[in-house]
Parts: sequence; structure tokens; C-alpha cells
Amino acid sequence: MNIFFNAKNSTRAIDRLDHLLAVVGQELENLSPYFGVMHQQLIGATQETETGVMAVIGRINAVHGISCGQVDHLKKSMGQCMVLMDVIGQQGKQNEKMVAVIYQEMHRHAAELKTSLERSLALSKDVKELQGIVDTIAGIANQTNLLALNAAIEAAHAGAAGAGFGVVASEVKTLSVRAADSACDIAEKINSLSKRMDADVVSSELSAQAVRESTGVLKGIVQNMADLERRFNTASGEMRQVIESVQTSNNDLVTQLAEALGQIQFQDVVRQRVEQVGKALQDLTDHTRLITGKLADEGWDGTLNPTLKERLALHVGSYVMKSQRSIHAAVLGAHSPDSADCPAIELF
Amino acid sequence: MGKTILIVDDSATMVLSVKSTLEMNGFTVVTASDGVQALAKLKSGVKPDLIITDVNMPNMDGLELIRNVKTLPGFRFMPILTLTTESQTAKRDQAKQLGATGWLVKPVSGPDLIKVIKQVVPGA
Repeated sequence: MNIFFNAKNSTRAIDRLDHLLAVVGQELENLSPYFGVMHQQLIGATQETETGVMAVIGRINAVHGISCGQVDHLKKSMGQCMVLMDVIGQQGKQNEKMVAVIYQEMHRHAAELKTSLERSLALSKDVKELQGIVDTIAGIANQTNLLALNAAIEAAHAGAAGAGFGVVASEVKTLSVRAADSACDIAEKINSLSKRMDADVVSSELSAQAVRESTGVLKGIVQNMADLERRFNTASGEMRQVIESVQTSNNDLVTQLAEALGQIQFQDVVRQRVEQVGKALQDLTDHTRLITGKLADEGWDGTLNPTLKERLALHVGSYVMKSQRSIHAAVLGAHSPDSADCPAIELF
Repeated sequence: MGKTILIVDDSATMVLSVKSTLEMNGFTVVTASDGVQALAKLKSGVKPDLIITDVNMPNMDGLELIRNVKTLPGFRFMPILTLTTESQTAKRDQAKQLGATGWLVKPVSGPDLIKVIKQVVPGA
């Protein structure tokens, strides 16, 4: 009874073991597509990071291009500004010379006008003083005329004896009349001349006033030109400072972008690490296939070549980065061979 | 006139990031995705002032490229920098023996890269 019972139990145990082995074998077979899917997921993720990083680099280049464009534009503007400044500077110097000549001429003209006006005033005064002399001459002529009249009367009283004296008196009268006429004529001419000279004096005064006003206007123009040049120089200096500041900012920007581009290299580092994990997944797939095959082999004695531990150890030889070796050593509790790593930058 | 630099790397992001960094700093850049392509460009007449190459690449790796470049006529004294994730001294020593000018481990910041280039390329 016991022998029968034990045989029955053994058969059940063997059946169960067969069943378990079949399940494990099936599960091991399913690991292969599982690892394959994960591997492809890693590849897809790496490709996505690559696409993203390429887009970021594109943006960085675009930012750099815009910045350089702005600097070029400003430099071009500054160049034009400098040319304009040179032209204005040269024109300003030319204008200064011209204005100086005009100013000198106007001063000379004003001085001449002043002298002329003084002469005219003196002449006018002298001419007016002639009027008194003419009046005296006219008075003498009247008195002479009266004297001639009296002499003619006395000559008439003398009769024949005064006939010669009468002739003389008549001649004197004629002379006095002519003298009076001449005095009158001279007075008219002096009066006319005096009026003309008064007009000339007024005209000269107006001219002198006009010259004084023009000189004032000219001074204002010179001042305005100097102010304009000064303002332009100030504005140019400020613009130069702005351009220098933008240039400095652009250089800083290039440095920052270059730093960013360097940091973007992380993608290649990550890619290589992910590729290493992908190889490991492929290694695991190979290993599960090996075990599956062995399980189906009735003559399998339980040995595996290589074992999973050996496969893991083989990875150390394919690591390229210090971080890969460090993690491997840290997980397995081994010492990380730091001394085998070279410096980040080394010139031979 | 800007110096010309040949970048050799199988990573598109590496090529683009280094190329952008160099172009921002006034260099002219030629690129290749592995040693075979780089060698073909050099043989076709490209004469850079510096070669920056990755080490681990398909078809022809960086060390093999250095070996080949040094045998090309006119390229014996060509400065060659390696830019790689590879940090093991064994490969570094091999590169040095083959005639590499320097060894840079990724990632390298742009300003550091430019500084090194100015050290190894006269007039850069």
C-alpha cells in the first residue's frame, strides 16, 4: 500500500516539475521579445533626444545669427554715422572759415560806415554853418543896395557934378543886386545840399544798424553751428558706447552659447550609455535563449557557458566611461579603478 | 583668414554642436561621420589646419584614422585632437604613440575647446 502510494506521489511530483519547467521555459522564451521591446524603447528615446538636441542647437545657431546680425547692423550704422560726422566736421570747419571772413568784412564795413557817418555829420554841420555866412553876405548886399540908392539920390541932388557918382552908384546897386541874387542862390544850394546830406546821414545810420543786426545774426548762426557739432559729437560718442556695449554683450552671448553647446554633448554621452544598456539587453536575450535551449536538452548537466555572472563581468571591458565603471563597481560592491582614467583635457 | 578644422564623429549631435561652437568663433568647418569618410576627404584635397576626431566610431575608429593620416603625404605634422567619451589611459596612450596632439574627454565646454585649439593651431 505504502509502495503504491509513494510511486503515485513521485509521478505527481515529476508531472509537476515538468509542468513548472515548461512554464519557466515559456517565460524565458517570452523574455526575448520583452527585452527586444525595451531595447527598441531605448533606441526610440535616444533618437528623440537626438532630434530634440539637434533642434536646440538649431535654435542656438539662430540666436547667434540674430545677435551677429544686430551687431553688423549697428556697426554699419556706426560707419555711416562716422562718415556723416566727418562730412559735418569738414563742412563745419569750412563754414567757420567762411563765417570768420564774413565777420571780418562786416566789421570792416561797419567801421567804414561809422567813419563815413562821422564825416557826413561833420560836413553837414559845416554846410549848415555856411548858411550864416551866406546870410551875412545877403545882409551886406542889402546894405550895399541901400547905400547905392542913397548915393544915387545924393548924385541926383548934385546935378551935373554928381553925374559920374550916379553912374558909380548905379553900378554898385547892380553889384549889390547880383550879390544878393548869388547869396540867395548859394543859400538854396546849401539848403538842398544840407537836405541831401541829412538823408545820407539817416541812410548811413540805417546801414550801420543793419550791419550791427547782421553781425548779431551771424554770431547766433556761429553759436548754433557750434552747438549742433557739439550735440552731434555727444550723440556719436553715446552711439559708439552703445555699439561697444552690444559688441561686449554679443561676445558674452557667444561664450554662453558655446558653453551651452558643450553641455549639449551630454546627449552623446547618454547615447553611448544607453547603447551599452541595449547591448546588455541583447546579451540577456542570448542568455535566456541559451537557458531555454538547455532546458529542452534532456542531457543538460546544469552547466552554463558563459554564466550570467561571467557575462556581466565581460561588460567591464566594453565600458568607455569612468561613470560606467563606477556604477558597475558600486552595484557589485567592488573597487572602482579610478586610476585608469585620464584627465578630461590633456595635451601631449 | 579663418582656420579650417575637420570634425570626425559618428554622433550627429556632437558634429553639430562642435561645428556650431567653432563657426561662432570664426573657424571654417568640414565634417565626416567616420574615419573612412574623413580619410577620403583628406585624399580628395581637403587640407585642414586641425583634425578633431572621436575614438569609437564604426568603419574606421579614431586611432586607425590617426595612424592613416600620419602616413599621408603632407600630413605628418597635422595636429590631431581626440574628443571622446573614452577615458581609459590605455587608448589615450595608444593615441599619443600614434601622434595625436591631445586627448579631450566629452563633454568639453566650448570656451575650453577654443582655448585648446588656440594652443595647438598656430595663428588660430
